[in-house]
Amino acid sequence: MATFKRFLFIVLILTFPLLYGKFYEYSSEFLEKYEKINNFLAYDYLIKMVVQCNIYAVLAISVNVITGFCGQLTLGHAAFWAIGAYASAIFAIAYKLPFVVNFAFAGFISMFFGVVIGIPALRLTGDYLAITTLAFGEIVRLVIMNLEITGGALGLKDIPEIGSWFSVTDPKSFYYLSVIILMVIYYTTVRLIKSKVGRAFIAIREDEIACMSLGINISRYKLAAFAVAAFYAGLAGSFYAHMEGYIHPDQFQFMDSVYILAMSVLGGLGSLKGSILGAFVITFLKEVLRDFQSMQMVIFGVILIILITFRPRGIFNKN
Amino acid sequence: MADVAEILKLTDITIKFGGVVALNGVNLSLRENQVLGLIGPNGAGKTTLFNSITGFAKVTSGKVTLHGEDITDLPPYRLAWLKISRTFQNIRLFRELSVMDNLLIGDHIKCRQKFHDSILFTPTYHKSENDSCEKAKKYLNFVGLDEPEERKAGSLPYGKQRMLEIARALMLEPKILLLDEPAAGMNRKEGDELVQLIKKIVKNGTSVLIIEHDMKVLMGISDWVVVLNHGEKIAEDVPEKVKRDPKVIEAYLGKESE
Repeated sequence: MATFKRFLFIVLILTFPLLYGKFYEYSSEFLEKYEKINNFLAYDYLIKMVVQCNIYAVLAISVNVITGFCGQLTLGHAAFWAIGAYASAIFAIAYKLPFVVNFAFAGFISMFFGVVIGIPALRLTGDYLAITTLAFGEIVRLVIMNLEITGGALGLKDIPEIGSWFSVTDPKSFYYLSVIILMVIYYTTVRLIKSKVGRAFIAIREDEIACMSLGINISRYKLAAFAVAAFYAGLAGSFYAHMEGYIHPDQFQFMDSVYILAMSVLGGLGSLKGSILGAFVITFLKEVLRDFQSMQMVIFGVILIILITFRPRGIFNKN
Repeated sequence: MADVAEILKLTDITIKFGGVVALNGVNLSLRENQVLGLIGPNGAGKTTLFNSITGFAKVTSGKVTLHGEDITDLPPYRLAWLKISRTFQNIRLFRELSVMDNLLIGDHIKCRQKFHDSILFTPTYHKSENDSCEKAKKYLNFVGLDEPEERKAGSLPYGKQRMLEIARALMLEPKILLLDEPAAGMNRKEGDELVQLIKKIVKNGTSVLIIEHDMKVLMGISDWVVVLNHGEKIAEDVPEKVKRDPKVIEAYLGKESE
């Protein structure tokens, strides 16, 4: 039964653009009367939104590896995302290699920085680590803003497309690629958590001293958690850069790090399904609340408080 | 007892925390298959001595040797690789995790699998997971825990948590096991079970170093007892003699006034 459900779910994911296209076609006549809703439900727009959600889901999973499983609070995750995006874009513009190469390159560059920021994390815990990662996030943004190679505050434009069959006018192709990336990362992370490495991560979150007495090299595994998470974020950044075709430093602000963290907390720290759900909930919430402008953050905050009050350990974590 | 090999030796261990001298020139040696009891009033430095062996406390001066090799300044996790395993005075189980997960994490250094084994479901992965589970069940049996494996470790009764912590320490297949007040919080029956368990552990070829306040447990199993007071060793002998040592009685009960 469980396998059947999973199969059905995957079929649903794969046919979603098709099904949604049909649904929109039939309901468009009715929807035309309500312009706002119609705009929101427009085919291209909604599919694009889902792609955005998928990217955020990857980021939320990657934060979950550090914060949810390994127990290290990070507030600068947008930095890894930015590093991935810029690394991929610069590399692609300079060498004009296929997307896959840029994609992997971005992952590894981001991973390198993950290890670099992981080193102070070995000595710091809790709030202190959060402040350090926060500072790291801002430093990365400011460095990008002031470097020539990154285009400064103007950003980078004309980033090569992913492939000839990916065009801005048809979001379906991006949808499928993002789903594949998310699925692969989800699966890899599930397997990671169920392996010896994942058990060590969780053990570090639970009790570092007990870990040491059992022969777990805490430093090594904390660095590994940062490396894996940064790698994922780098991949997400690369995909994002090539999809948008244009990136600038303001897309990777402190608030984005907070959003990403909020996604994994809301979904449930230590739950990967929760991260995906959290990414969808928050991305859509942000979009719906866009019309309220200055009140956006207030309403957003209130909704978060309500959700967390009723589900203190996240949507997917019981008790 | 020169014929039995001396495996762990502490020479002139001094540990200072700022101005406080927690241990002052303590010598100690542990022989193979020996149960060495460590007693002393509160604050005598017993746990600090454990910490000096397992690398949790920085030794100010002195040397810890294992089979003649210096292990004084090794980080705590390295000691586990050298088959020294310990439990803690205030139980340090992974409370939110299941009984089984606690034991599987205990098998960390023996578990032969790589990251890619898990992703690709290679035979190595299945084999190592199966081996670890088998081993965990074996040690659950060994310590006499019949709780369901999925039960949260933190929800076990106190005495059983102690037993689980010992089982987890045994997952390392240690040559030296350090037990820090294992009988604390146990009732008489559990205490007796603990004595039997420790005897079984020693029979399997592990030396045990034990801190214990429960004299019935300690005197019942120790081959040799070391008494600490104010960071200094004041006596060491076989249990029967230590019990009658005037210096030991004085440390525990105070000096008799004339």
